[in-house]
Amino acid sequence: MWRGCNKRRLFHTVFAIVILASLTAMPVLSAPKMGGTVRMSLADSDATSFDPIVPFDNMSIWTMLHMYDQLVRVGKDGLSVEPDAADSWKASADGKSWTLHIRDGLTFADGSPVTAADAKFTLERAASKDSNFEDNFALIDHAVASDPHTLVVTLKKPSASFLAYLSLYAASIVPEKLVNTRGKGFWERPVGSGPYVMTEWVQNDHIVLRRNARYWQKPYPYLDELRFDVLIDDNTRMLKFRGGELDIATNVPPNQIEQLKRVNGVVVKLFPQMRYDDIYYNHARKPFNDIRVRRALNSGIDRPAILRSVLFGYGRVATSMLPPMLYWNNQLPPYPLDTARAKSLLQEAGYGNGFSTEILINAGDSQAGQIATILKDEWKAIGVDLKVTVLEPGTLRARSKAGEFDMIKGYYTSDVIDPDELVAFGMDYAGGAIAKRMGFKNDRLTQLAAAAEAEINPQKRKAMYFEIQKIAYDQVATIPLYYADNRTALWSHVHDFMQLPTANYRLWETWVSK
Amino acid sequence: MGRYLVRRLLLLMPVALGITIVTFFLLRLIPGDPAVIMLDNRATAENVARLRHSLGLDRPLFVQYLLFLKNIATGRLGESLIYRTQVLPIILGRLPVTLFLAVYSTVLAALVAVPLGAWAALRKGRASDQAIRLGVLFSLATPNYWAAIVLLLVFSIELRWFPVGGYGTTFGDHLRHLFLPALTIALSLTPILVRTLRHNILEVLRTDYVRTAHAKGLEAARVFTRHVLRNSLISTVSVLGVHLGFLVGGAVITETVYAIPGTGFLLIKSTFARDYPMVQGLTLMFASLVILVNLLTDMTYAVLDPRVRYD
Amino acid sequence: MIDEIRAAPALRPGRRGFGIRLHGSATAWIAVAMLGITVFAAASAPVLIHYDPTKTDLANSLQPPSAAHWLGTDNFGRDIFTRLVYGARVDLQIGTIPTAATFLVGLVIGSVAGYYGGVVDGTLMRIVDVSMAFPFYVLVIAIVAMLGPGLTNMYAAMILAGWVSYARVIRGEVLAARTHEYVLGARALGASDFRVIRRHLLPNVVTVGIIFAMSDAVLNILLGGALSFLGLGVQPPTPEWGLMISEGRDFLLTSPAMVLFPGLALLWVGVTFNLLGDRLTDRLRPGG
Repeated sequence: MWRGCNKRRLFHTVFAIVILASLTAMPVLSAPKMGGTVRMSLADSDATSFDPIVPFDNMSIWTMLHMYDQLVRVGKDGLSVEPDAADSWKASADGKSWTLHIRDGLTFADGSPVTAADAKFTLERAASKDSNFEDNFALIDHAVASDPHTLVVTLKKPSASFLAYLSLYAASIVPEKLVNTRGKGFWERPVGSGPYVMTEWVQNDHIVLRRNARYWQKPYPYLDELRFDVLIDDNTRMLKFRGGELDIATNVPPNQIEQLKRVNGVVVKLFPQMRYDDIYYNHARKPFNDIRVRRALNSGIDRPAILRSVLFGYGRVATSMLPPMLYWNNQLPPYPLDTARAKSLLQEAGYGNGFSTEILINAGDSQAGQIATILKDEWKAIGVDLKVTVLEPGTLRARSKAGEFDMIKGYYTSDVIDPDELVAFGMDYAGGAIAKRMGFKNDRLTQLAAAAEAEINPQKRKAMYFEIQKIAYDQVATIPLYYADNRTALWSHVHDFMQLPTANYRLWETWVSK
Repeated sequence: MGRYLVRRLLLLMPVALGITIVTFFLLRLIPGDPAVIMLDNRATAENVARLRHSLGLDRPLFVQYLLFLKNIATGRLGESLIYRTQVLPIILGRLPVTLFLAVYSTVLAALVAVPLGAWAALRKGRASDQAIRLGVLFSLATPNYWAAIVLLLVFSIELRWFPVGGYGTTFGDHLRHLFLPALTIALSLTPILVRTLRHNILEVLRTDYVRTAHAKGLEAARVFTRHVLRNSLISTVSVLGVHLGFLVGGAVITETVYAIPGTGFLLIKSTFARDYPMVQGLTLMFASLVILVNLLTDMTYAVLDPRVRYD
Repeated sequence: MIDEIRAAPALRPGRRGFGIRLHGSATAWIAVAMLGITVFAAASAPVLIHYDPTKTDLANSLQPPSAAHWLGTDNFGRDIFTRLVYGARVDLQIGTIPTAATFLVGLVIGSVAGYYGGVVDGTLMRIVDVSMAFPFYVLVIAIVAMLGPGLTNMYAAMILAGWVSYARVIRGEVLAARTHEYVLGARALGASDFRVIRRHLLPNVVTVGIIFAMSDAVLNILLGGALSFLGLGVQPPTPEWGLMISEGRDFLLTSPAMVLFPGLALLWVGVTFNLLGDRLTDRLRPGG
C-alpha cells in the first residue's frame, strides 16, 4: 500500500526519469554529425568509365553524380530542377537563348575556379560526335562564356526541356584545362567540383570516394568517405548487409523485405522511381501487327497477380508507357483481366485456335524469368502457347536490333525529369530507338512529340503528353507490366538517405550516428 | 632432358599460333556486334558505323588479326572496348587473385587428400577405405553454388568466423577472405586427388614395395613414405595444372557468390559484352598458364622418373 | 600418369568382352538400387504423380511442406517434389547422352592417335592441346551463341568442348598398351591393325574410358546446372535441377527448400554414378 508522501516521491521520480529519458533521446533528433564512412553496394555491375559522355550503365552514372556538379540538378520531388553549379538563370523572351550564372566561389576539388568556360567546354563535349549522348544536346546551337561567371546558351529552337537536359550526367562540368592537358589519363583520376573525389577504383571490386572539402554547398557532405562495393549476386549482397559489412544495400530482393523488416536495427526504404517494365512486340511480325491480337493478349494478363508474385506488391500496376513523372497521364485505367474477351478477339482476328509465339529474356534477369513463366501459364488459358527463350545479353541485343523476335521483356528509366527523353527513346519511331526497333510507327504521336519538345507553355505541353500516352495506351504498343519501387535496406545508424525518382542518390546529405 | 625441353618448346609454337587463330576467329563468329551492344539503345546505323570505325572494327579481318599479333608481340594486348583502357593492366590486376585462389584451394585439397589417399591405399578394401571413398563421392557430387552459399551462411553469417566474400588487402587478409571460396573449390579437387593418389600408391605398392618389404622390414616404411611423397607431389602438380586453367577461366560461380575480383567473372562478362580484346587477352593468359603448367608437370615427371620417355 | 608403372597383369591378353559382375560388394548393390530407384521414378513420373510440373498456382506459392505438397511449393505455387522427380528425367539425360557421345568421339580419336603415333598423333594432340588451353566457358558460350539455346545445342557444346579429355586419357592407355608383347606378337603373326585394335587394345582402353565416364557423367550434370545458371542451358519452365537452383537463389534466405532439394537430388545422382564408377574400377582394374 502506498502512503501519501511515497506516492508523491514516486511521481517525482518517474517524472525525473521521463525528463532524463527524453533528454538522452534528444541527440537522435539533433543535428547531423560530421564524419564517418558509409559502405554501399553497386548492385548492377561495375562502373565502366567516369567520362561523362561515355557510360550508359547506372553504376557509372550514379557515382559520377557524386563527383561532379552539373549546372542544375534534379530536385527531391523529381518534378523540378534545382540550382547546382548555376545559381540563377533566365530565358530570353523568345525562349531560344538562356543565360546562366555560375555560382561565385565555386571551385574544383583541386582549388581551381569553375568558370563559364569550363561549362561551355562541357556542353560542347556533350554535344560532340564523340559523345554517346549527342542527341540529347542536339538542341544546342552554340554556347558563349561572356564572362567567367556567365554562360549564354543559344538553342536551335525554343525548348521547355533544356534545363532538364542540363541536369543530365553527361553535362557534368569538367575542368577544360586539365582535360586538355591530361587527355585520357584524366578520366582515371578525375577532378570535379562535386561533393566527393574518387581516390581509388579497383575494377569489379570497389570504388572509394573521399569528401571534397571545397564543396560549395555547406555543410555537405557529412561523410568523410563513401565506399561502393560491387556486389552483383543478390544473396552475397544481402548476406554482407546482414553481417554488418554493408551499411546500405540496394536492390533488395522483394521476397526478403518482410523478413528484413523484422531484424533489429534494419530499416527498409521504398522509393518510387521513374521506371517502366514492359514486354515489347515486334509490330512488323504477324500476328502482332493486328491490334485485336494485341488487345487480346493484353486482356489475358492478370497484372495484380504478377505484381504480387514477382514484386511482392512493391510497386504499381502500369498503365501508361511513361512511369509516374511530370505530365504523367493519370486518367488511363488499368487494363482488366478478361479471358472471355481475349478469346473472342482472337477469334475475330482469325486465331480462334490460338497460336505459338516466343518471348526473349535476358539471362540473369530473374524478374523477367518469373514474368515469362507466369505469362506462359496465363496465356495458355486463351489458347496462346508461349515459348520462353533465355539468351545471354550479347545475343539478345543482336536479335533485338535485327528484328528477329516476337516479343522481348524490356524496361526503361528516365534520367531527367522531363518526359521528352523517354518519349523519344521508347515511344516515338522518329527517336530511332526502342519504338523503331519495335516497328511501332504512329504519325500523330511523332507529330505530337516534336511539337511538345518545342512547346514552352506548360499547359499545352501537358495536354500533348497526355495525348501521346493515350495513343500508346489505346494502340497497346507494348504490354505495360508495372512501375517498380526502389527497395533499399539500411542500418538505423544511417540517416537521411534517399533515392530520387531518377534512382540516383543524394549521399552528400547522408550522415551516420555510430 | 635439354633436348626434350627444346622439342617440347618447339611443339608449343603451332599450339600457341593455333590458339591465337581460334581465339580471334571464334570470337568473331559469335553473333553480336560489340558496337551495337555498347551503344545499346543509341544504336542507330550511323552511331554504330562511327563507333566501329573508332574501335577499328571495320577493317578487314585479316588486317585486324595481324594487328592483334603485333599487339601480342609488343606485349600490349590492345584496348578494352568497354573500359577504354589497356587490357593488360586490368588482367594483371586480377590475375593474382585467381592465382592465389588456385594455389590456396590446391594446398587445402592436398592437405586433406594426401593423408586420406595414403590411408585408403594402405587399408585397401577395408572399412576405412570404403568410408573414405564414400566420403569423397559426396564431396565430388556437391553442386558448387549450393556449397558456396551454405558455407557462407554457416561460417560467415552464423558463426562469424570468416568475412563475407571479398579479397582484403594484406596477405593475412587474403588468407581469411579466401578460405571459404578455396574450400568450396577444394570440395571438387579433393576427391580427384584422393582417387589419383590412391591409384598411384597402389600401383607402386604392388611392384616395388611388396618385394622390398619382405626383404627389408623396417626400411620398407621409409621406402613407402618416399613413394607416397613423390606420388603425391606428382598427382598434386598435375591436378593443379588442369585446375589452374579451369579456375582462371571458369571459377565464375565461386567468384560471383563470394564477390572476388578474379578473372573468371571478368571473362564471362567480357564474352557477353563481346569485348574482343579483353576476351582475347584473358584467353591468351589462360592458355599460356595452362601450357606452362603442363610443361612443368611433364618436366616433373621426367625428373622424378627417368624411365619416362616420350616419343 | 607414369605409363611404365602400369603393371602388366592389369591387361588380359586376348580377353574378349568385359562382362561386369558386381556380386560380392554391398555398396555395389546399393549403387545399383539407387540408380534403379532414380530411373524408375523418372520413367513412371507421369503415371504416378498427379501434379503438373509446370502449371503455376500463384495463390499457393511458397507453401511449407504438407500432406498435399511433400516438399512444399515454389514461388509459382508449383509442387517441388513433382518438379524434382520430373527433373530426374532431364538430368539423367544430361548425365548419359553427352557423356556417351563425348566418350565415343574421344575413344575414336584417342585410339587412332595412340595407335598410329607419329604425325597423326602429333596433329591430333596439338588439336587437343589447343582445345584444352582454351577457356572452357568461352568455348561453350560461343557454341551456344552460334547454335542458339536449348538442350540439344547444350549437348553439342558439351561434346565439342569435352571430347579432348577422353582423347587424352585413352591415348595414354593405348600408348601404354601397344608396346606390350602380346600386341607385338599379334602383329608379328600378321594381324591387321584394325584387328589388333579391336581385340587387344580396345577392351582395356574402353574399361578406362568407362571409369572416366562415370565421374564425367556427374560433372556433366553439374555443368548442365551451371550452364542453366548462366542462361545457356535448359530453358524455363522445364524442371531441371540446375535450373531449379538457379531460379531458387533469390528465395534462398526465405524459402531454402527451392534450392536445398534440387541440390540434394544432384548429390544423390552424383553419389550413385560415382559409386558405380568405383565398383567398376575395383572390378575391372583390381590394381586400383
